[in-house]
Amino acid sequence: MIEVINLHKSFKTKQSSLEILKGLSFKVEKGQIIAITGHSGSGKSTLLGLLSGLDKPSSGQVLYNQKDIFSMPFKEQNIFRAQNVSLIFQNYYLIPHLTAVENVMLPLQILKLKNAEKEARFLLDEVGLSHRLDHYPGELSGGECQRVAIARGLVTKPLVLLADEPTGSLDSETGEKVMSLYFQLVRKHNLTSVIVTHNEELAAKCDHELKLHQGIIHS
Amino acid sequence: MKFILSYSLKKFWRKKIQILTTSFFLCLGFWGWLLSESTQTSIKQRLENNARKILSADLTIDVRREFTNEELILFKQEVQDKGVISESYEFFAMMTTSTESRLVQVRVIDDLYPFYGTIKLEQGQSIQQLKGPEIWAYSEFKDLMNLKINEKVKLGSAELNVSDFITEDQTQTFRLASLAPRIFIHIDNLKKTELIQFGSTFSSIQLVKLNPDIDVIQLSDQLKKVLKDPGIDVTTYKSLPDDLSGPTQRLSDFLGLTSLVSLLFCSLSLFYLLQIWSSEQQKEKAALAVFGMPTYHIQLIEFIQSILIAILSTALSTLLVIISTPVVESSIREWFATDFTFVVTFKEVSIILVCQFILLGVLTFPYERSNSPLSRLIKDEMISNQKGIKFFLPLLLLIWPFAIFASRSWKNGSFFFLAILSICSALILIGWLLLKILKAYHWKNWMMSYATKSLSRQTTASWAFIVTVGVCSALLNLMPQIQSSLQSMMSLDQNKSTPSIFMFDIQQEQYENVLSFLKDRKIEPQATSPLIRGRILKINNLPFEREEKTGTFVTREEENEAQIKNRSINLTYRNKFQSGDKIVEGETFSLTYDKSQKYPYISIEKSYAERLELSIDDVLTFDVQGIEVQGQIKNIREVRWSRFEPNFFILFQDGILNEAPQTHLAALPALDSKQKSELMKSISQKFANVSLIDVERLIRDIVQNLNRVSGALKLMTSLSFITGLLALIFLLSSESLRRAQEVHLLKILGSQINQILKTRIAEVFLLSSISLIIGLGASYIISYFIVDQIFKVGYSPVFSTAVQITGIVLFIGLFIVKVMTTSSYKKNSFVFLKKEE
Ligand SMILES: Nc1ncnc2c1ncn2[C@@H]1O[C@H](COP(=O)(O)OP(=O)(O)O)[C@@H](O)[C@H]1O
Ligand SMILES: [Mg+2]
Repeated sequence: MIEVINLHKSFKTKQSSLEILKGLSFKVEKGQIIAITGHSGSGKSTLLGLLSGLDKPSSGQVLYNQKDIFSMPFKEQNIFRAQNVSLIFQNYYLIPHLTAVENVMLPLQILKLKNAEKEARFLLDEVGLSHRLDHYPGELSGGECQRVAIARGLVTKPLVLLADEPTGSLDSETGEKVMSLYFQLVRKHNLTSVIVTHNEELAAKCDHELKLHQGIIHS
Repeated sequence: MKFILSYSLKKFWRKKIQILTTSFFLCLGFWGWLLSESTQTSIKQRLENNARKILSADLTIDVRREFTNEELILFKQEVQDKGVISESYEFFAMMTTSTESRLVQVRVIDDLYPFYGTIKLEQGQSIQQLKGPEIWAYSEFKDLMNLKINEKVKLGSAELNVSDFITEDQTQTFRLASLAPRIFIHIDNLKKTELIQFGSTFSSIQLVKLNPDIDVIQLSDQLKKVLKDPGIDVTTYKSLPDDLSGPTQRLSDFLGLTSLVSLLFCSLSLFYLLQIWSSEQQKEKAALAVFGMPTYHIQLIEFIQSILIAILSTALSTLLVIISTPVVESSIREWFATDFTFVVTFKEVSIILVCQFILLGVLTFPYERSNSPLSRLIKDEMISNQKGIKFFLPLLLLIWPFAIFASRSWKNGSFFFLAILSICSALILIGWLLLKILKAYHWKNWMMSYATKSLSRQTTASWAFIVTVGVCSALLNLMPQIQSSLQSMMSLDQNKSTPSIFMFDIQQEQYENVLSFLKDRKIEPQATSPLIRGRILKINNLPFEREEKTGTFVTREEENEAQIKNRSINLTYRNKFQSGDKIVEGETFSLTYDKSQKYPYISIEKSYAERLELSIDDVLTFDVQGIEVQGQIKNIREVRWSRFEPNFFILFQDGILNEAPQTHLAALPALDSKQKSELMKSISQKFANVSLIDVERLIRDIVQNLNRVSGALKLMTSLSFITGLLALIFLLSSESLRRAQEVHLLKILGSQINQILKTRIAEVFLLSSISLIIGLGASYIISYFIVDQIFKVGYSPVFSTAVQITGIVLFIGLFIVKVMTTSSYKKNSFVFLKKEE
């Protein structure tokens, strides 16, 4: 499904260039849930940014079903991502002036897909928020916000779900609840997922754990 | 305490960009304000210097008789340590040469005359050289009486030698009665003429040049109190009426207004800036509270920051102003050809500082502590900016005192404040309604629905935008309207050529002869009027009293009133209204007196009526050469002074004053210079007593002055225009920056740049349209009132400016949104979203 080949990423700072990823190669099979762990600053978010195609590597490739996303033109890549890859953030990033259901509908509307509202309601029901449809993010708890974000990630029926520390802003109990829902839904929809976390318990629940240390993967 | 200070300082350093922006806008506002303050001062000084020259003193007292010894002692007691006194007389007398004789105006002077202004002489003598039995005469007498140097003339009983001709007399003014050509004699020769005796008409004048630190108004008030006879006129250079002072006063008002407007632009941008800032700080404040910092400490931190911002940006902007001063100063000097100094005094700096403190204080005031729980503040929200419209109230309230301060008038300042207030209310009310409707509408297109939702739910940002753009466009359009109206007032009447010669003192019995004389030469006078001297004794049977004003803060209304009271006035009667008259209040009446009327009707000039607070149906009692004459005001008339027609404040019905002792005056149309010179010669030969004045040169001076004045008008209008545009650009780009995160999110969700642009453009377009329609509409209404009520001139609106402003606002708005959104879109979204705000 996803194939990472010899991925390098370095940041140029004022004085020197800082190499964060020093040639990563790994594969994620369809339906697998992979955890990427490592201590803070090890480059996990950077890697996720590259996997989503939002960031560009210094060198190397990321293939989705044998297709290199970095060789696609900007616009095509954008559409490819919107249709196939969903992102979930530590800070949820819901749009504050849209209600829960409107937030979930938004990606479908953007992609001009039909039945946006019906799909959105259905997914919010799946994440257990059918009673909070018309609430604004400001009126929801952190866990509820993250569940809305998950619903928004799933609504476009993507192939891949990328999550960057999805429980980072939640207390451990809520985090656990949200993640068990997450696993349940990913399995149900037969999605491929990469979760960045430093939570060992969460990582243990995944099919596979990749440890990122000093720019190199240790599996 | 130490921690609080170092914390504030650190934070302060991190916000340097914002502080620079703040300073920049402050600087602009400061600039506009200083510029108009200084221009106002310089214009005022110019007027005062002119007045000093005309008066040739700081203060004069005059009476139509000799001063009594008692009066002179009282006068000298008051003035003694305050300045120098010079003595003078003025009267009309017959001057006879070997061949001709005619009535001339005589000015009797002493060694000290004139205190101000110069008198230029053909032979290059100085005024101190007028000593012996000699006269100086206006060079017009060369034509009028064939007068030559060293010719002997007889004046009263004295024989005097013509020792020089006067080519320029700055002590003369464009005022009807004082336009006659003059001769000067020394006071030592006055006795010999034996002209001043019991029964003869003359004015005794005492002139005073004051030491620099003496308050002339205070002294004049004191003199009015001490010198009981209301026949004694006390005139100061500050109270001297001048034909240019009307339009110049209005210009001064206008400059006050432009400075207000540009200040308002700047404070709007400042306000917006600080608001974004303060909402950014909410989270941090909450965090500090969570860490256990007492609330008052948090407020102290904010307060310290505010002080730091205020001080630093005031310092920066003051510095900028000082650096740029020489350039502005020299260009304005060139423009006005006058001493123009651009002073940044402690007063200005402290006013700016205080205003800022108030503004910042208001902004950092914890409005919503109770209803915003900490948890909500800590929670991540992309845009946490929901304070609503009440946030604008303090700014509005701040405008009021400032408007009064800047315009030096309660009425004008409050009017301006009310205008701004009503624009804001209209914007908010209609904007609110429209957004409600738009939101309720079920949009098929998600972009439109997204745009309307975003607008109606991000209230503060939307209101800030609507109010700022609305007020900006209203003000941008307001200035050109007023400018155009003022300018059309100042421009000369195109349909009618300006007169070339004024004829005065045409005696009643020679009037018909003069007319037929002119008719023989195919010259039709542009206007003729009888002139009767009088003085107001009573208004509605209450004695018309001398006004006494004390105190230093004198508003415009009070100044005018003091100026006009107790002056003798020229009356006229006429059987038809002139083409330049426009009746603005009351009814037209038959200009022929009907015996059945209780009182004769009179028509009063508008500004005069306002200054004396006269209204329709008031009954005035005049003293006309010792006889009481009454008249009832039937209408108030507006006179276009730019026609340079002989105008009168008070116009009687025909049939009342006809028998009173009177003279006539006539304005002759444009003539070429040869024709003019010949005509003057022949008139003076035929009608020796008639005074002739070549008014062309005087009018040319006035026109030149007016051109300078309208130059200033344009300068100030463009300044406020530029400030407004900068405020708009700033507002739009900071709004776009604030919403960059949203762009990235939409991008990740799959939006094409076009879709994002469409939603943003729809938002900006909707908001701009609301603001433009209301703002521009309001600007026409308000400018009508300002022009009509404050400047008191005819309203002549321009509509091209509204079109231009619409174009500019939409262009700037859409351009900035497009550029900013596109550049955000192209940036690395992941890095952007990862960044903790
Ligand atoms: N835009 C950037 N410029 C420079 N250095 C960066 C940038 N983004 C990340 N880094 C550096 O790369 C390293 C990895 O960052 P990140 O991937 O966010 O770590 P993690 O998510 O594992 O905590 C950090 O040391 C960080 O300082
Ligand atoms: Mg990270």
